[in-house]
Amino acid sequence: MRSDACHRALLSRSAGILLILSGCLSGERGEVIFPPGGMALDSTGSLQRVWVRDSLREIRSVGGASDQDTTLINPYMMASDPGQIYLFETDNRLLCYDSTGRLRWVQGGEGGGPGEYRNPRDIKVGPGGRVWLVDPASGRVTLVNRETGKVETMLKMRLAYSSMITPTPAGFILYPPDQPGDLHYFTPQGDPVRIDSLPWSGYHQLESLASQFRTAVDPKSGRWVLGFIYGNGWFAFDSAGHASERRFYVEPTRFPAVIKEHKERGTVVTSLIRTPASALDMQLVGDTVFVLFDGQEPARRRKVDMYSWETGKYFGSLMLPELADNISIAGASLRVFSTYPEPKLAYYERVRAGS
Amino acid sequence: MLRMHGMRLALAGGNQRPGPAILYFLAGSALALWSWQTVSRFRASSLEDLVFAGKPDPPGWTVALIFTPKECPSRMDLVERLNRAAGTEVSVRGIMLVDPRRFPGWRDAAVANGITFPVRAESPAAAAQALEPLGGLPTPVLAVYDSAHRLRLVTDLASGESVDRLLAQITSNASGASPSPEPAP
Repeated sequence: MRSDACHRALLSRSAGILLILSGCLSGERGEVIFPPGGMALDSTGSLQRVWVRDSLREIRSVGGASDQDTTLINPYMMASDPGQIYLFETDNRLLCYDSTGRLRWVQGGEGGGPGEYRNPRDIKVGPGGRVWLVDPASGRVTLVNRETGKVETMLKMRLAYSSMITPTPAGFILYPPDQPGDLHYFTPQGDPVRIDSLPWSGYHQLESLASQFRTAVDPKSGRWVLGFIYGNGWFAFDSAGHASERRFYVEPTRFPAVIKEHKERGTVVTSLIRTPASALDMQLVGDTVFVLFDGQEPARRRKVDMYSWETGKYFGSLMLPELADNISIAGASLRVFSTYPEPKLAYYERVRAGS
Repeated sequence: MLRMHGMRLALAGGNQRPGPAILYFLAGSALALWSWQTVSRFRASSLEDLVFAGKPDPPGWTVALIFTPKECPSRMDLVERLNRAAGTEVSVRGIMLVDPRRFPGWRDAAVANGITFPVRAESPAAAAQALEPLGGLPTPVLAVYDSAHRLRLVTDLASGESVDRLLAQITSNASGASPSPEPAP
């Protein structure tokens, strides 16, 4: 009898242990990491938007006519200077359009050879007018001549990864997410010069997925800006790399939470939880910082907010007539690239209110 | 290693009757595993079971968002509209497909997504089974039932904009008269 009782106890204990172990032995678990400050909207600096009453008149467009239109297949990056637009296609080709929407040249292709790309992450026009592409998968930075579309220089990246590049008068800057220091300065030949940090300690408390940012450079002055894609904040830098304090967007935003999944063998998979984005794109022209903003309804992906580079002061917003992924401003001309519903590059003329 | 070593020692010693103990352990393990799988299987065998399981029937239309903790952020953009709809005649509920033992902070995922309507956790396996007859829709899935618990819409949220319009229509439908009964044969 005693033995039977022991065996029954053993049986029920075994079943219980197994139920617990089935959940724990696999070693997989997930957790949610909230940003510092939690999920509250960061309203610091937020103001009521002031809409500039100028109207935008579409004067021409490239692609976007229908889903049968193959002019643009699936570009995912854009850069510009006053005279030209550069779109980078997923098949690793760089397309250059002039101010009339005419295709000037095509460069690139898939591969690891000279002038070829594997998966560029950023494209910029730098001082001197050359087009800079950073391609971490190839481990190099490529400089393309704006007139001919020929590759001028290929530089070896001295870092494992950077999703952004900022060309400056003194070289260029890369942003490795997994190394000490945030801003790594290099000479035009690709040699490291110095390492700086963003002047905001909160940045270093954020998960790297939550702290993504964009940069924009004014090729004329060499000044540049850096703004968060999620969350509230942007910084102004002069051509020597001196940074402003953290500045704030006109609309309150929040940094997103992330999910961290701890897989077997120590692998950690991090993914972003839904939150409206902030800066979808930025451009710096003279003293004006243009920010294509996502934010809350209404007019998500259609708001272009304008700030002073010098003071950070907000001074108005433009409403785009359609959804946008990238913007380019040159005088009274506004160029908008959109992937929805079909890839389209539209050229607008800004008509001043009352004129 | 120690446990294995101990087991070998027990097997070697005849007086402690180790054989039946191991058999009972194995039998218990198999029983527990079978019970767990059976419960998981029958907990939600259809989409309706998945949506309404364990909750009293709401009086009006029901909109259910079925999702995992880790969804494409852009596809979860309709959460704001669902939050707003939850304050109307529509009953909005969230069903997060997650194993709470592996993801104890699943409620945090609902908070981080900004969801203000009630969310409960369900087994991903049960949901897969419930969605299989509908072609195994990928999450997030939106399911809409009318007040008679008839399935009116199920979509995988591939097009956020059209779902947004549909939701607006559902909200206005639900706030009006209840749907007309089926015509007599």
